[in-house]
Amino acid sequence: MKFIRWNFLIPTVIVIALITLFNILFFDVILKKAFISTGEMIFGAKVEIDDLKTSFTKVSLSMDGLRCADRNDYFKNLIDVDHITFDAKFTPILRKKLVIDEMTVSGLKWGTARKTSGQLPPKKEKKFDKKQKKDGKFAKLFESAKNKANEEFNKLPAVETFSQIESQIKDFDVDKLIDKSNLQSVKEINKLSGEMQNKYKNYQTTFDNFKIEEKIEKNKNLINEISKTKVSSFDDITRTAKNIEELKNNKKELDNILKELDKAKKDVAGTLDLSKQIQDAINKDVDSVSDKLSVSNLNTRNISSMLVGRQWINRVDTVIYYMSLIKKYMPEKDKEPVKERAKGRDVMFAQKAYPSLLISKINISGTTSKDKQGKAIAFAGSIRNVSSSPDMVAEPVTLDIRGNNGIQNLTVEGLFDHRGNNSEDLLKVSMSGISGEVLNIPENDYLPLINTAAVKLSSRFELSNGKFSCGADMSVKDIKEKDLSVIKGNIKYLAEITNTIKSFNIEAKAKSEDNGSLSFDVKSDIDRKISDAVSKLFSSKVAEAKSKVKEEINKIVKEQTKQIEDNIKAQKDALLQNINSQTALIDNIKKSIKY
Amino acid sequence: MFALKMLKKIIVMFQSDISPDQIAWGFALGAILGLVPNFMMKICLFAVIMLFRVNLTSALIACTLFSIIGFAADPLLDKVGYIFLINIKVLKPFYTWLYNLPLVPFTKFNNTVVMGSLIAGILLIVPNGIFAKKMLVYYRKNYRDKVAQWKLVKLLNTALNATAIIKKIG
Repeated sequence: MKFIRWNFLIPTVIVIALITLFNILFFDVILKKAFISTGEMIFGAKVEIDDLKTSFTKVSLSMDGLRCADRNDYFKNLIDVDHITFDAKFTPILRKKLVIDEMTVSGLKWGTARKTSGQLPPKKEKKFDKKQKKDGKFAKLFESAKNKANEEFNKLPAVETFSQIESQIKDFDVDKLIDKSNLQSVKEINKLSGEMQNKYKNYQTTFDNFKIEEKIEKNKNLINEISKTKVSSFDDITRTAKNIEELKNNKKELDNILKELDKAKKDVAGTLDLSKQIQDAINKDVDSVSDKLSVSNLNTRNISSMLVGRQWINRVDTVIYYMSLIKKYMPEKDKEPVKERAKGRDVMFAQKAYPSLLISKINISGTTSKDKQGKAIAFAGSIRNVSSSPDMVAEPVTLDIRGNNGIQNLTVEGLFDHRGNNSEDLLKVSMSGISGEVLNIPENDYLPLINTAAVKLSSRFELSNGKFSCGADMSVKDIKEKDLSVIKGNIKYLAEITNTIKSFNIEAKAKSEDNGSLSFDVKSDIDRKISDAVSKLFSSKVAEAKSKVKEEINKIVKEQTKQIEDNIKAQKDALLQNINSQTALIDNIKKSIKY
Repeated sequence: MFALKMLKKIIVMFQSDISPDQIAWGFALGAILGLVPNFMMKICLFAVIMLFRVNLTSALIACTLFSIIGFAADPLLDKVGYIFLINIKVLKPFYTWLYNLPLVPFTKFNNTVVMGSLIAGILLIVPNGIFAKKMLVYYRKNYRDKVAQWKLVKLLNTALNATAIIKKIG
């Protein structure tokens, strides 16, 4: 063995042995750190692993307590897995390929609470953002569309209308609604009173201009003169005849005055009834105040958009994010098998080819997060043919998970086919018997208690050749009634009406358009139901307020009318008395003239 | 300093009584190391050179020399590699077997230039070995004593010895 260089061989063997020993002792720690670091860069939030063990002899890995925090809520876990275990094939590892026939993922949960925040430290956060900017083209497109849609949902008139209704119902204060100085009826009373007073004044002036007493005195003098006249000469006859003629003329004049007085008496006697004109003015006032109570009509389509629009966007956002992750780590087309090199050419030979990562089957079991009633669905299923190079695997990636707890059902089916140049991702999620809480619609006074309802959900997400489309049908049933005894104020009427809504359906859609933008659409019959309920409530409230307004205006007008009527009555009585006395005087003098 | 040391090692190789066979083997294996362009293949060949008691200086000289030759001969080596990888169909099952072995594909033996250089290097082992040995024997017989008298060689020896003493004292 002279030809062997022992002083090279022995140190080399020692160094290799030490490296191997180091790896055996510390490989698990290093691998754990690598998993955590990679996971954090993928999910953008803290990843924790309680324990990780590898075996070089079995080429296996066992992981306990894997938790990935949710980037959207740092105090929740996106994924929480109790145990992951798999055996890998040895030879592919030497070629930097991980081939797993069967992997077991047990105790899978999501949305579990965290005691500590899952936010990454600022340095890692920056690194993640940088990475996202670099490779999240699809996510970026969605982000802009999401912001736009969110803006639109925020601007929906229904939101404003609801708040308007609420504030107006609260503001149904008759005193605030009636502006006494602007009441038409009060103005009308004052106007009529003025007109009446002017009329009486005019009559009085006319009567004064008649100078009845003067004329009566004159006639009396004439009568005296005629009665005392002794006809002794022709001149006496002529003068007496002249006096008689004058007396006749005066009588005619007094007759005319009498007619005028009679006419005035009739007119004055019949002018005190102001009620008809005032009532018309009151009606006008009530209508005018009622106009202030009207609100713009509800756009029925806006209600469902407002209720579930943002939730829908967020769900679509989550699905798109994970679909883009799948797309990123499962490229559509594998590298070219033969490529030209600057130096020489690579010749490919038949090979039992493995992709960098191949997991033939992942058995999954776990539970969904508990709802408020403490119910969770235990589920089990499998994911097949997970690969980093789908073209090398004959079958597409499939996902099939089913769960049932006697009341609630869960089915998740997925197909992720990235073979060839065209990719097709399809994810179907069906749930039934689940609580209305899943819709995450906050409770408010306008809505029925959706959180108490039983929901049946069927959704489908599809990403085919870069085009995204998805839809969800939700049937919300068995909505419980609100406890009206705890509701106070005007909103109680609204609650009474919304209590009549026991079920509704929602249909939500989203798809990418040819110009690259995303469109969202949400339809529901709750639109019509809530709109009807709100309109009904509003009509009853408006009617009630109108009646109060009418009562209040009547009260105001009645007081003023009484004052004015008393005043006018006094004037009228005085005028009538005057007319009567004047008429009596004229009647007396007429009798004298007759005799 | 490194250049001086290398120069001394070269002079020592020529002037000393180191086995011509060791030097010849070193030269022949060093030639393959110089020709092959792939890093992983170079590592394997380096390990072989280090493992066997061949002369490292002659291997280094051959490596440097044949790296330069390799650059110029790449088109030719590409053709040789192509013939061996594609035209000699008998070898295809062997290549396929190699290709499916763990780690071996990292040597890029399936590249035409890598295969061409390897074949050329292997084919040149005997001629390179004979050439190196004969040249060395001839040199030692005719020129060793004369070169030993050169002032440059003496100066170099003195300088390196003085440096060694200073290092020891220091």
